[in-house]
Order: sequence, then C-alpha cells, then structure tokens
Amino acid sequence: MTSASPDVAGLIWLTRGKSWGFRFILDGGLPDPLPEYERVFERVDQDEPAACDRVAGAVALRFPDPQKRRDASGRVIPHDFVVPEELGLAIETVDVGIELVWPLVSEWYDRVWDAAKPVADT
Amino acid sequence: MAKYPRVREQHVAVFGESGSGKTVLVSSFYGPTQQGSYKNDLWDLVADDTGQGSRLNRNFVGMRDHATAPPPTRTDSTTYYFSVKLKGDTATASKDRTFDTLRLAWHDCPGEWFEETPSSAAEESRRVDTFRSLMRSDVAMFLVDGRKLLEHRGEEERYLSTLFTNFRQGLLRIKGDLQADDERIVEFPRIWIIALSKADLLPELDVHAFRDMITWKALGDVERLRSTIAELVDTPEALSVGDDFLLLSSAKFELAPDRDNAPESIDVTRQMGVDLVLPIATALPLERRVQWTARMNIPRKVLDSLADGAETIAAGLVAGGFLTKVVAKVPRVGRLSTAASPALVAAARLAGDALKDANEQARANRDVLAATLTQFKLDLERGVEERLLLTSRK
Repeated sequence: MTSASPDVAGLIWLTRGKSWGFRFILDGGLPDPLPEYERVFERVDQDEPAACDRVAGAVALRFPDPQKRRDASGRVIPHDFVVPEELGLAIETVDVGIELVWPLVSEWYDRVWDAAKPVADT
Repeated sequence: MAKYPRVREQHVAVFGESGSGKTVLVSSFYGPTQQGSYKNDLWDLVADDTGQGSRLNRNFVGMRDHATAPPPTRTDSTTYYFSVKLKGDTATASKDRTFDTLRLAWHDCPGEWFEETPSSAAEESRRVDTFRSLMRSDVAMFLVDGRKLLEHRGEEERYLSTLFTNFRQGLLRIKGDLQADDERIVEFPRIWIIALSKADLLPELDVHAFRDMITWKALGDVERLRSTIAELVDTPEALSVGDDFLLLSSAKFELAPDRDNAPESIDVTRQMGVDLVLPIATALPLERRVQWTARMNIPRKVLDSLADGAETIAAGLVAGGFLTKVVAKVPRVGRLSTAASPALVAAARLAGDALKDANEQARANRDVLAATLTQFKLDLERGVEERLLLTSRK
C-alpha cells in the first residue's frame, strides 16, 4: 500500500481487483504474511462469503465488497483481513468488523480496484 | 497375490488466468455425474476426498439452481482426485484386468500464477512446489478465455499476447528452481492443449476456426512458449505445444452487463467438450507416445516417463483377447517394436470401424475395462467429428 495509506499497522489484507488477482495488499508488518494468514483462516471454509473467527491473537474477518464490486468474471470481490487482537477486540460479528476495518482501507481501494494493477505494483 | 483394487493414475494440469473458468470446469466435470439422473453403464465417478467432492457438487448445484458461479480461488492450488470405478462382475472379470480403477488427478492451478509476481515469499515457493507436483502430468490444458477474446474482438492478439507472455514469464521465473543443476527435466507434461473456455460465447468458432485464430494472431507467442518449455525438458522433440486444440464450455451463462457480468442464469445442461477431459487424459498420451516413437528415437528414461501409463492402459484394452488379430498384425521389426509393445501399438492405432467393433465386443463380453477404454477412444473420435477437438498428427 502506498505512503498515502491510512494507519493500518498490524493488518493483513488479501484481496483482488477487477482485473488484478489475489494478493496481499497489507502484510501486517511481517516479512511474509501468508503463514499467519493461513493460521488465522484455518477454520474458515474457503467458499464462505463472510466469516468472523477469533483465534489466538487475531480475528479472521472476511466480507464481500461493501459496494458489491465484481471482478472481470462477474464474481463479487471478497476481502480477507487478519485483524490483530488490539484492533480486533471489539469485533464479534462480520458487521462490526466491516464498520471498524473498512473505513481504514476503503478510499485506497476505491482508487485501485479497477486499475490495471494495484498501486503497490507500479 | 495382487492387491485390489489395482489403480492406474493419470494426471492432467489445467492452467488459466483467474476467472477463465477452471473451477467451473472441474465442478461441471464432477457435478453432473453425481445427479440421480446420470446414467453410465460402465463406470461410476467418485471423488476420493469426500470434502472435495462435496465442494464441487455444491459449486455445481449453486450454478444449476442459484445462478451462482463458484467463488474465486485464493492463494492455493488444488489437486482433485477422481476415481473411475468400473462396474461389472468384478469377481470373475477382474482376474484378467491390468487395473480395476482409473484415477484422474486434476491439478487446478491458481490463475494468479499467470498474472502477477507473488506478493509473498512463501507464495513464490508454493508456486514452485505446485509446478513440481504437476510435472507428473502427461497432459496440460492451457485455457484461452472466450470472454476475453470476445472483449478483444478484432484485436484478439492483444489479449493472446499478454496471456502467453505472462505464462511464459512465470515459467522462466521458476526455471532455475525446477531444474536441479541445470539438468533438463525428464518427466514433464509433453502435450499442451490450447483450450478455448467459455466457447459458448463464440458460437461461430469451431475448433478449426479457433486453431486458425491462434495461428493467425498468436503464432509467435505459441512458438515462444514452445521454445521455453523445450529448453526445460529432455528430448524436446517429444513435445506438443499448440498442436492440439479443444473447445470447452462448462455451462451456458447468461450474463447481466448492467451488473458487471454477474450471471443471471446458468444452464448446466449445455456443455461442450467437458466429457472429453477424461478420454484426453487417458487415451491421448497413449496415441501420442506411439506417434512419437514411430518418428524418432527416444531415450529409454524419457520413454519410461512419457505417457507412463500407456503400456498398462494398452494392456487393459487388449486383455480381453478379441484384439488378438489386431495385435498380431503389428510389425515385429523397426523402431516401434523396440519402443512399444505390440499391445500398445495396436491399442493406439485402433480406430474407426475396428474400434467400434472392439467396443461392442467388449460390452457384449462385459469386459468393462476394455469397453471403457475403447469408449474413451470413441469419445475422442466423436470430439474430432463434432469439431470440438483437433489432435496433432505429428
């Protein structure tokens, strides 16, 4: 994510754009976010469109794009977040998760979701 | 004592960009065979992993009843294992069989592999592992997305060039990790079929027209991909890249342009080419191996890995004894005689009326294995006749 990004320290965010594929937009400050993402999302069925699962030290939060934006194949874009405990303490439901997390990243996503590539790539 | 059931495993790898229809394809391959209305007198298709089977079936039901396409695959590849379990009186018929169950390993690779560099080091290493695991495949299917072709009508070369270039660059990126000590790879998919997915969107294209489009618009790109793969493998002469073509349509999607192409309805009864995947994975390598060995000297180590199930499958095909005359006619001298058994040559060359006769006899004798394998070959012939499949003569 660019320097213009909001303060999202500690968040891991996996998503895709209209034409760019799934990638980690935020890495939670880790050298490699994939192992932590997989640990936290272990109990979440990959086909579930929405999820809120608390595991040790984090919350697995998934929700469909709040504006129902779709990828080039017509599928609503999902957003997967690993929310660290200090930020995720209040997150008990998907709706609360959206309320707390989405404002942190939504403006950035508005700008890049239909770009050829996410800004981080350019 | 032989262990039962004896299993013959074939591998197919499906490559395609995100959204090109890979998960829809595997769901449409499996889902219809699990419906009560499905009839097949020779075999049952079973997902070895119950969870995978349920997931594919749910995808299928979602498409059929709720116009919902399967969700996108994220960071991981999946290998689906399907068993073709032969029907019939196994107590008496299984004695002569070379195998009782044909297993299909279907490697479904994430589309992101094509499109971007990985956003994580672990993801990068997973891509290498993924590719290593599917190197056992005899057949790779390289999907060209029909919808993207439609969107680029008149300038298809722009899409095709990006598609082939991205994949080739992905291969080049991991080339060093795939080749130990710069040694060329012996076991690697040798047949790369260019398959048009969502072919229902381009009803004017039969497989010949599709081949001609690829030839006209992307010949250089296909050749560069072929060269890149050829640099990776031992005996690159034994390689078909862009010599075989297939039309695929998993279902008829009616889209809503005003809702970013969300499906309005999905007619899962309107499929094209999906039932050819199993025959392609099973019978095509067998035929290609005989074609190649007739044309060139192939080192033993390559031969052993090249369509490595071919001899077993051929033996299963001729085991019933009714092909004795065909096998007897296979020349016992020349390059072929040292590189392939008479059974393999006979099985590969079985075609037309002789193939139909063999299938009828096998069915009459309840030799379910031979009936299934001859049926696969008949299916391939039908695919060619219906202009869904174009196979290399080289």
